[in-house]
Amino acid sequence: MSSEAGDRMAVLQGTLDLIVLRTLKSMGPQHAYAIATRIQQFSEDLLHLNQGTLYPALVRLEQQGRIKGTWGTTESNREAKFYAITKSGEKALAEETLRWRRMSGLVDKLLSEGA
Amino acid sequence: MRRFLFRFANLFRGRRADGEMTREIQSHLTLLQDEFEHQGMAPEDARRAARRAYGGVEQTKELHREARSFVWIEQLFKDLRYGWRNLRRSPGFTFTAVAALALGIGATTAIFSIVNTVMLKPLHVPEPDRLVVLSMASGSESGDGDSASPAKFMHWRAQTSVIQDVSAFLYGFINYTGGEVMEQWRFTRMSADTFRCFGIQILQGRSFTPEEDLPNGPAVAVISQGLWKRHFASDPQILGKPISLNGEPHTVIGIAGDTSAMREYGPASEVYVPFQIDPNTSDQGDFFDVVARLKPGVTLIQAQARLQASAADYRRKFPNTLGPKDGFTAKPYRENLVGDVRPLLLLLLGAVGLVLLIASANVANLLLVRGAGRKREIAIRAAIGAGRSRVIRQLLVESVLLSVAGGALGLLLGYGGIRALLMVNTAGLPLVGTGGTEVSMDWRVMGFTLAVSLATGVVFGLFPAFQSSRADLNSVLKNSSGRWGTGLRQSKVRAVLVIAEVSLAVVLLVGSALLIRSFAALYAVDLGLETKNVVTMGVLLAGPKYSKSAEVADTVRGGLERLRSLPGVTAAGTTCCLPLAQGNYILNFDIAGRPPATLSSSQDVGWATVSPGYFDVFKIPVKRGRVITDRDDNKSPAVVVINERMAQQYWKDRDPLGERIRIGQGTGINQFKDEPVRQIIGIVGDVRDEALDSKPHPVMYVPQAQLPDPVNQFFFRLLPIEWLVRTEGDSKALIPSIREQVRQATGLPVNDIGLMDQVVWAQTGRQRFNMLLMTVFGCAALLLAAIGIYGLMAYTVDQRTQEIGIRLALGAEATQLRNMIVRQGMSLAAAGVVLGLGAAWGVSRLMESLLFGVKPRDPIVFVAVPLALAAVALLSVWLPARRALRVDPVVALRHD
Repeated sequence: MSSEAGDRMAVLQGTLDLIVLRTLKSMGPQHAYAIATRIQQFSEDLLHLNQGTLYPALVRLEQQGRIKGTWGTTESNREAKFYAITKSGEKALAEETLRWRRMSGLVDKLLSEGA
Repeated sequence: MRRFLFRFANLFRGRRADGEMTREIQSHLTLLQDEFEHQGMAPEDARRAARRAYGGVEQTKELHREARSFVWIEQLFKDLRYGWRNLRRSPGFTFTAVAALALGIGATTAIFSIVNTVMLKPLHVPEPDRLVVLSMASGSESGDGDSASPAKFMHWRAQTSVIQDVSAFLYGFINYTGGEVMEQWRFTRMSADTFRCFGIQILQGRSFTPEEDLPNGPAVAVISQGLWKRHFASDPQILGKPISLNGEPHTVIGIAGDTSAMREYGPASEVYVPFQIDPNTSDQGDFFDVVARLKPGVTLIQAQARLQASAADYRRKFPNTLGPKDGFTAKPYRENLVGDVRPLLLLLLGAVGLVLLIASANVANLLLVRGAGRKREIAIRAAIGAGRSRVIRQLLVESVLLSVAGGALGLLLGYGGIRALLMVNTAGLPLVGTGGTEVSMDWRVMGFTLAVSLATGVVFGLFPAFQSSRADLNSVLKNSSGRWGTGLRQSKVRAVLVIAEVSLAVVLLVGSALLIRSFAALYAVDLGLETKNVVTMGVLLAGPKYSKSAEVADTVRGGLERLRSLPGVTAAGTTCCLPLAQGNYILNFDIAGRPPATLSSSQDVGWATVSPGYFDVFKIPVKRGRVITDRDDNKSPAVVVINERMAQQYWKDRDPLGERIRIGQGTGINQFKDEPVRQIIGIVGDVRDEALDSKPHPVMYVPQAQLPDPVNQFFFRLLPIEWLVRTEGDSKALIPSIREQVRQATGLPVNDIGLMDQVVWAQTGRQRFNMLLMTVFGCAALLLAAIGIYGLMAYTVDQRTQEIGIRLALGAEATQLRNMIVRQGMSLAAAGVVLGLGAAWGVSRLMESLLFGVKPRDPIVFVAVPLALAAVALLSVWLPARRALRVDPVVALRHD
């Protein structure tokens, strides 16, 4: 469906939630545009994020009660919805981080030894 | 759970949530645009860049929505609305598809509603699983079907370790002689436990006690609720009152409630009296039914094993009554009733399954054609963001919508149709009730129809949906005419569907043609008797006045004399056993000078008692000797007339005339103790008196005036004597005067007066039922297949209008083109016919048991069916082909 150029990566299924939670945790309440910008900066543009795909993730997380959105105004005086991580969000982040570390460690190990 | 509620709430907040989303996306886009402007872009460029960076706004919305709620429900409603609009836009297509489906689903529903009633629906009996029918084990050499004798009944009743409530009962007629007008009532003789066994309530009073059920017990009766209301005006004091039955007073002791549990054994009785079988009987005459209940906790297999083992005791007690292979068994009540109709029902179910398949193939074909026409619509939907699965879902919703509409219509059609058919002819199906009233609409029928409709919709819709959703955006949208859009592959699929339709139709038509041939053969069969212009009626000569056979004979002679003197009457006679109705009794006989009959010598033959004139009425030819006359009474030597088959079977090349036989000896039928030795005085032609489709059996005819009195009582206490009158010309006009003469002669009520032709007609009920249903299915299949061929060819011609126009412009002969199209269509039909004949050749054997006088691979059928189909196919190809002739090249080239 989407075409990826060169060595830019698509967001790994399921990791977007983790990335969003982590971003909100470290940066405090942010609107969607800021989150998208932050992710792109941080990944040094390696991660290609169709900014629109962020919305389903945000809605999903809000439904799960992991983040909470409130309407506010940006520095440039534009209206935007600001998302903040909740208690249950922090708990989920901790769990997901642990799981991710285990998973990536396993894959690492497999790739370095398995061949 | 929370998420679930959230989604659920969103289902109803759709519009508000959409607003929220639009607002948020807008805010995001604004921020992006700000950023781009900040980088120095012009506002307009920045706006466009922002949209690009964001991705498809509508796709995002859709993704968002899917995350947000039960989007599928929302989409389903949308798809339904959209589908409905679409179907309404093309009423011709919708009508054809719904009609085809209604036909298929309706036929399936009709047959299923019978299957449901006969095989699935709970019986009108409490704990039906415990109800069993006791009979001889299958494979037994002796014994007449399910009937049992008094000795067997007493033996079974003693098997108390496995069964209880062992009940003997027998239907008959009884004359009510207490009122001003004499009436003939239906009544049942039953052993004491019968009401309990069937779970029939006694509304007032009580049932019979074991003492009342002993020989010479008190004369008591239980009456039906209907009789109590109708005849006794719901008299609250009825209990204890005497009513006069066959001239003897019986005390009413109870009123029975709903007796429909016993319905399968005959029409409801008005009166019930105790059977009064002697517990020490050795009577071996099989003449009544026995049912029982399994003891609680006892399995059917245990009961069967016990009964089988008990046969050894029986053999010891009554030597020479059971053959070495004979035994006793218990059969589940329903299985016993349904046993022989199961193959028929399965065949009909298979047949309607084929009709449904053809209908589905037809609709699938229509959908494919429509899908081709809708390529652009679908491509546009895909272009504005509909995923393929979404498109397929939309198309499936449309096809299911069609099939459910067809199903709803089919439910009414099928249910109404089958009820109408059963009202006329129940074909002797068990458990369907009088006129099929038990075939009702219940949750099983509805659920079945719904399931069939949904499954049909998905099955016939899936392939076309996949095909149509395969649209290649560019080629479809560019090709504005859409003319060349239908691929080869699709037309191949459609051709295969048409071939399948034709071949299934051939199979069904072969089935119906075989049944039609069977029916014709059945009607052409030589019965051995002439039934035209014969009036029949029944009179019960029972009671103290008729205990001796001489008294019965006097009454009969007087009646027959009156009848013969009526103008227009050419012959009159009586019999115990109306041919093709009750059937003859089965008795054994010994031949003087040969060893007596044993179980293995198979000397059981048909037995009927007749009056002088009987053979004249039916014009049964006298082959040798003479028939019975008025001089053959109880003072003259005992005689008997036999039929040709009996002569051939037991005397082969010897002359039976003058030989002596003795009937009913050695097997313990007590009433025949005084049976005299009879001399054979005549041989008559064979008669198919059991059924039209069963070969004549050996039969012996005994003069009614020469019956020993116990035999006379035994037979005529329960069943009416059948009177027969042959008239010149129209019999119907004479019926009133005939009835009056018989009534005056006997002083008794005359029942069931009618024509012998009606008796024969009633015999063919099952065959007519089979033939009618299969013919309806066959014609439906033919019609559907014709529509299928027509649709495909019409579409092909339409598709090729341009090509035909070019060919015509280049000088091709119009007739040549027409022939080309006809050839194409007919080659499809021919392929279908060949395949179908092959299949029919293979499966027609399954119908063997339903056929008569025709082989499953009847050559006439296998030639006529393909010809008929070819003719119909030619017509349905010819019409569209003719259209090709009328193509105007100029118009065709502009054809869009």
